Amino acid sequence: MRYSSLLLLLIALPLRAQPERATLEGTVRDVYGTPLAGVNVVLVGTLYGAATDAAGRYLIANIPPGTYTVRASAVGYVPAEQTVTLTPGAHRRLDFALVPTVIEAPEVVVTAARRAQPLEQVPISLSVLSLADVTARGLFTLDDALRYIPGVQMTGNQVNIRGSSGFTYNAGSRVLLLIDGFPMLSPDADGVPFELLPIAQIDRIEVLKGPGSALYGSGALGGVIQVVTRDFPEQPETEVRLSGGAYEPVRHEEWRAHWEGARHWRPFGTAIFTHARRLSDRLGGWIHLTYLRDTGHLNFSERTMLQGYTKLRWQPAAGARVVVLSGLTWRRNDSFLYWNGLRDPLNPGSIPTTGARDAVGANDTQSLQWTLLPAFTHAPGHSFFYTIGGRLYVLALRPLDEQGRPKPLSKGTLGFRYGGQLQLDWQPAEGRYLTFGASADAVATRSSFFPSEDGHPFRSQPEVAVFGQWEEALTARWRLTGGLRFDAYQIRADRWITRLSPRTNVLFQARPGLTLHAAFGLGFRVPGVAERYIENQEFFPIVANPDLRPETSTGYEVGLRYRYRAGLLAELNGTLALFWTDYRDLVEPRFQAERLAFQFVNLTRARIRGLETTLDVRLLGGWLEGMLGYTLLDAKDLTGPEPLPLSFRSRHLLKTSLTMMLPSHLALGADLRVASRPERIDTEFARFVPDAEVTVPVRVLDLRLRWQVSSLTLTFLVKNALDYYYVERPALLAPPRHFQLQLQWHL
Amino acid sequence: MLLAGCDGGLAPPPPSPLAVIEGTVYYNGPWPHPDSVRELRFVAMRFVPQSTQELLLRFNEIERSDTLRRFVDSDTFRVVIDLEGVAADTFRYSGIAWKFGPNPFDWRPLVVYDRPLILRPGERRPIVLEADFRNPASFPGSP
Repeated sequence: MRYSSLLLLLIALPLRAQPERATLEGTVRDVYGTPLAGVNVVLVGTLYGAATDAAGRYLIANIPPGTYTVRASAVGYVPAEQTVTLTPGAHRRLDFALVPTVIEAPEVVVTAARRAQPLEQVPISLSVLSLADVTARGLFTLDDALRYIPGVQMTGNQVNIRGSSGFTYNAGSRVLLLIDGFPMLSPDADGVPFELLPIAQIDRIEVLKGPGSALYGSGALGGVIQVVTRDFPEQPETEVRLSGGAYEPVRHEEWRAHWEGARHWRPFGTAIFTHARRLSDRLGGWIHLTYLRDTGHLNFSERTMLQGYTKLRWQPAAGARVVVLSGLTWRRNDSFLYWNGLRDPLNPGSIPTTGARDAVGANDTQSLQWTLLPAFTHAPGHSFFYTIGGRLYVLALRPLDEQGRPKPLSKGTLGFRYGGQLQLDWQPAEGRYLTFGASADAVATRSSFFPSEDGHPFRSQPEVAVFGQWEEALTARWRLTGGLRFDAYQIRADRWITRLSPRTNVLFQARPGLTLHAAFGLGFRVPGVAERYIENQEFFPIVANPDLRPETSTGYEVGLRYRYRAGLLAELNGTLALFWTDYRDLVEPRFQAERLAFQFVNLTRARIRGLETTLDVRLLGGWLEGMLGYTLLDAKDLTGPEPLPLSFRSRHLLKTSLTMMLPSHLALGADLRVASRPERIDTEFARFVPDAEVTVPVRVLDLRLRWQVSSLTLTFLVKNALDYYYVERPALLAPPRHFQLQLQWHL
Repeated sequence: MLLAGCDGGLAPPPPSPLAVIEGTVYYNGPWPHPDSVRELRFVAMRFVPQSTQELLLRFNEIERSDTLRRFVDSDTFRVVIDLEGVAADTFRYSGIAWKFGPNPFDWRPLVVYDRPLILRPGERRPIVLEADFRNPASFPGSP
């Protein structure tokens, strides 16, 4: 292609334009107005022609007079032809706008099911958010990104996949976070560390819905979030991303009266620098630096974060590679715990009975987090490879005193989560794929919130597991998957908890573009150190319960995935899933009158069933793109004699998105998410926090306008454009309308 | 978008009719050691508590002042009560609550107002209390 372009250029080079000859020039752009380089423009049936430069311009001179058909062509675009008549000495201009062809899109490859496979072959519901989706929406943290995924609802900082989590006051997570396949829940509260991501170097975020314990063990009770980071490119890449914005002052005078900050715009900003390159023929990697500053939309909700991440890949020999991902995050932030009532929701409330003079609904901390994820992969043969990986997650968290100075670490938390795993992938025959492995992990945490026992300041919870998975393509249309995992957790020196988690999946390709699947799986979650041992009177009266039992789930799902293409006009991808999950022994915080405090207890027997459908539409070669995701939940608490709605779950959840390409390199987009008001919330919280029982539906509209030219992208975003005031979890007002401008410079 | 535009979401509740309890407490006799006087507040309860436990269980039925000054001869307090939707509110048990220890439930009554307080919207009720740490009140349910 390059050679032919060069040949055409050489042929077209004039020695001198003769007066009786004509000249033709013009520009070639795509339908969105972006200049196209390297497009061949030829006069059909002659040797006259040229290729466009970086600005999309072409020039063909010394053309004999006559009538010609001019053809512009490039890979990925529909060739365009125009007829032109050139008179002697004429200098004509002829511009082209090429329409992209619908090239068969590369298969979306996902890895959440423990091995890379095309999305169409994954026999369970799964949603994918790409880096482009994250960047287009100006997102910097995982929780913000998850808000745009169908079937996922954030309850404060807890992830609900199809209603799995509810709200348990930030302790424990029923959703497992994996970074490049390694579990990464925090060592202090077993929570999802939302800011612990190199956001500009992620390739995609995969959300696997439904029990995933057969694949990943405890924590994957309600689903799995897999964040896949990028590899380094062949050519060096540098990106600078600057983003700034502000929260709009709240419109209610009564709220402003209680906090001066609410009368002013509250700024926030982020600066990201990334650089990726090959360092030698065997080594390459990237570095990612982030600075984030957010003054917060609530009093005492400021945060500052500095983060550095790097990923190196070294190929010591053919068929072998070593990958090391490591990151350091320093964070200083106020955690706004609960408001001071609906008359004063911008200030933290207080519970005077706790007795502490600084016992307000906010907790100021400074933390340092370090992660190290090394992995070695070796492929001794064409059909077999193994991966040995390790992980280390260190957290040092110190509370701040009234002057903002960090208190000693002994007053805070020091936590370690570490472990390793071996996984073997073997494809003994076409259509058969076996995965086996073993893992060992441990958490060791010393915290002022966890009283020491027998002189051992560190609370620990080691675990070991073995797992296996067999995939078999029974025929060209039927694919069967079976998996089994055995986990053993040591919760005390003399007590182990063991669990066997099977799963089975069937996939049937009814016809090209239509697959049906059925899935069954067991899930479990061992309560974390925080839930079992937390003792606190400073912020909330809460006492330990070391005897908590694991939560368990049994999940079923049937679903279909379809794809339809109508040439250039339309491309449509859709899913439909019906799911049913029974939960037992869900851990919930309850006020224990005899203990005069809250305590995590095994309480709830629950059933969550429902349906979920998604529809992705791409019209006119990408001129218009839309997404719709709807989830209907029937979530019931079966603990009592009569079924009750399960608390903190919305019955209806709707996510929609629309993106439209405009002339002049502009793209306009909107995202709307709607969640119905929870039918029931936990009233225990409202004993102490005023108006904690107040909820409204969630109705949030985000708007974005992007202007992209060459390597520069400018995005203007309006989040919560309708300035709708709502809560995602009790007693915490979500951000009001805020504006954001993002500049992205890609070299 | 139409759905989202229906209303503006959460808003402050409409203004409520208020009532005010204002008062002064005089301290007689010596003050105990500072470790034994962690905090003092005026509280007005809609019920008669039998124990500390009940204070926590019925926390939302208690109106309370800010923390009072310690080691003074006297101090003033003020409690504003929201009487939205009610013609009158009755506080059966009120007085100065004394936090005597480090634990969250180390509270006891120091001095109790000798009659129920019945407040109507717009009403301002001044009261005077005399406290003596050598002779504190006790919970009605206590021996």
